[in-house]
Amino acid sequence: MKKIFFLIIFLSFSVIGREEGQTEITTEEGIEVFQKEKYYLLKKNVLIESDEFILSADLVKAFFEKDLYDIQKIESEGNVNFTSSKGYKGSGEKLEFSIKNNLMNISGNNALLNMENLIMKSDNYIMIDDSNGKFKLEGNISELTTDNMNIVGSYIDGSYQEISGVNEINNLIVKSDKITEITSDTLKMFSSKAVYSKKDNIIELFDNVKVIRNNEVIIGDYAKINTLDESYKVTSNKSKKVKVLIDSTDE
Amino acid sequence: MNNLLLINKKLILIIFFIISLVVIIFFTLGQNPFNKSSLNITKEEYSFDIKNPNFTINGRDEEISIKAKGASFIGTNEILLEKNVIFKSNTFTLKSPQVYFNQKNQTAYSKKNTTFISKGTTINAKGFEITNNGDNINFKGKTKVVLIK
Repeated sequence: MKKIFFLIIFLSFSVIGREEGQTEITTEEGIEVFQKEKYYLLKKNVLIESDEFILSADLVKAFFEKDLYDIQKIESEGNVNFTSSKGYKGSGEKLEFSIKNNLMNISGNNALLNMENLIMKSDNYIMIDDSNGKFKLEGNISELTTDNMNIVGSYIDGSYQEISGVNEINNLIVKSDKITEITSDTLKMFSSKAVYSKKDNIIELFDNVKVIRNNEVIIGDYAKINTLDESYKVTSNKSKKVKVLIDSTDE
Repeated sequence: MNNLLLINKKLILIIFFIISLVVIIFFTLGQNPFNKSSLNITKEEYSFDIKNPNFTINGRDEEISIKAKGASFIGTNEILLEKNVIFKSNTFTLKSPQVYFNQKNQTAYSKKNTTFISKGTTINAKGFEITNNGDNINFKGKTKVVLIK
C-alpha cells in the first residue's frame, strides 16, 4: 500500500512539477512581448519559478538579450516577494533584479531583505550587489540587523563577506539626518555618523555622540569603540569637554 | 455492529488514490473529456471559402508562413483561419485552432487556446494578438511560460 502511495506522489510531482533547469512563469492576464525593445510584460499575479529564485508580483517586466528564455533583468512591482536558492528573502513594492550582475534593488515603504543573519529594512530603498558583497540602504528609517548588532540610520552603506555560509559585515558607514543608533549586547551608541571596520575591530562615532553602557552615559563629539572588548574612548572637539552621567539609582 | 466499522481501510485508500490520480491528470492536461460538445463534430462539416490556405507575410526581420485547414472571408480585409492554424517563421511556431487575420494591417488575433514555441520557450495562453509587423505579440488570459536555457 505504501509503495502505491509513494508511486502516486512521485507521478503527481513528475507530471505537475517544474523540471531542473527550467524556468516556469504563470500569469493571470497574459504577456505582452515587445521584440524590438527586447522585453516582455507579465501581467497580474505573476509567479516565476526557476532553479535560482522564486518571485511573485502583480506586474513583471522581463528584459531578454536574444530570445525570450534569455532573461537578463527583471523589474517587478506590486506585492513583490522574492526567495533565492541561497535562502535570501526579499519583499517590497518594487524589486529590480539583474540576473547577469546579481544586483538587486528593493524599494517601497516596507522594503525588506532577509539574508538569514543579515536583515535589511528600509522605508525607501535597499540595494545589494551579491557579486562584490556591497549593499546600501536609504530612507528616513533604514535598519540593519546582524547576529550581534542593530543599526538604525537614514543612510547605511556597507560591504559583507560570506564566511562558512555566514554573511559577515566588513565595513559600514551609517549616517542620519537626525541621529544614528547602534545597539550591541552591552552598548547603545548614538551619533550623526558612524563608521565600522571589521578589519580594525573599531566603531567610530562622529558628532552628537552618546554612548550608553548600563547606567553610564558619556556624551562627546567623537568616540572610538573597540568591538572585541567593547572598551571605548570619547573625546570632544568643540567644547573640549566630555560629559559623563552616571545613574546610580539601581545600585 | 456499526456498518461503518466494516469498511475496508485498504479499499478506502485505493479509492482515494484513484480519485487523486484522475483529478491530477484532468488538471494537468487542462482538458475535461466530459465537456466535449457535439459542436466539435459538426465543425468538421464546415465549408470554407478557401481550403488549406497557405501564404506568407513579411514580419519584422523574417517571413512568416501561415497555414490552416480552412479560411473564410468575414470582411473586406479580414479572414477567419480555422482548424490547425499555424504561423511559422525561422524563429517561432504559433498554433491555434482559430485565428482572425487582417490582410491590410497584417495583424492577427485569436481568442482560442494558443501555443507559441521558439528557441528555449514554450508559451500556452488563452489567445493572442500580433501587431506592429510581429514586433508585439500579446498572449491573452491565463498564461504559462516554460523557459529552458
